[in-house]
Amino acid sequence: MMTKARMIPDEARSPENWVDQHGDVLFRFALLRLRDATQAEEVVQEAFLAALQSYRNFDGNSSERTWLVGILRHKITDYFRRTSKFTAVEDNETFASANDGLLMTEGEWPGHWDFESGPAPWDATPLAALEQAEFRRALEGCLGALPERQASAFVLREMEEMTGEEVCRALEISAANLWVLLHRARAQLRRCIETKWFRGR
Amino acid sequence: MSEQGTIWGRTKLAMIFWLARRLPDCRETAPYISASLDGPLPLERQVKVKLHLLVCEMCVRYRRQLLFLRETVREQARKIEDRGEAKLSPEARAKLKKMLSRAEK
Repeated sequence: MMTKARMIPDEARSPENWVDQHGDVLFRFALLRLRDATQAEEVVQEAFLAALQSYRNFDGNSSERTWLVGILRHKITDYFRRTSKFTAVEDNETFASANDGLLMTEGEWPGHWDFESGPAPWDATPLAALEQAEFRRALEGCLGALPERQASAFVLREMEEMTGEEVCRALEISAANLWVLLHRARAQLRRCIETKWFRGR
Repeated sequence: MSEQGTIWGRTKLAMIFWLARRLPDCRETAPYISASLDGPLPLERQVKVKLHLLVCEMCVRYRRQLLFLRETVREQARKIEDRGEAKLSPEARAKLKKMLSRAEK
């Protein structure tokens, strides 16, 4: 039989200390994904509540933080599922128009990228860009500007690294719908980061 | 780099244009470039996208940039102990503490 001491590893690991020990890290984890401080605080609260209920079962095999982050992940996915149900489908959720303004509309090559406004060369590697606080801020700003449903799909796919099928199940949407949401999210994000960071430097 | 002046250079360019005119344009291809990052495309579409990428440098760039975004976003999301400055508000902190200490008793 497991002893109580094993289940609750040490004194410092009591729920009362969670806020001081993990609160800000969990908050930032949620904020990056939900892009809104109030919502992020709310899911952290939900995660703590769920953690309290399953605390007796926490086996101490993983660190307390890893365990809490795991619970928070579930709460974030739940949040996206709820909001995707109640957020109206955006009227621009079509496949083709996400790059409007960057494509030529007339001349010899309509429907092809415009040489001026189409994708510009990006002179940085992902890791080098991430080193710069200014880039990280631009990226967060651009993520923040994504419409709700596109952001949910994008965050689950690219941050939570779910497969396409997993995202469809989590959000209860069709594969075709997911493709459109991801295409639009990526197109908007690409355009935003190019304008805000690459062209602006 | 004066390849364009040679006969081979001009033929190559003519072939590229010939192909580009017969393939779906960038507007139609872009969504499938995105979709190809999430799983295999139907074979016919896959061939069309590959051929388009063969003759369209801008779409190659577009694809590379989507992968750039994927990598930066993943890298950022994987950092749990990140270097951000955002903190719980004092009100939220107090509320959470109260909730947790009450629940413990």
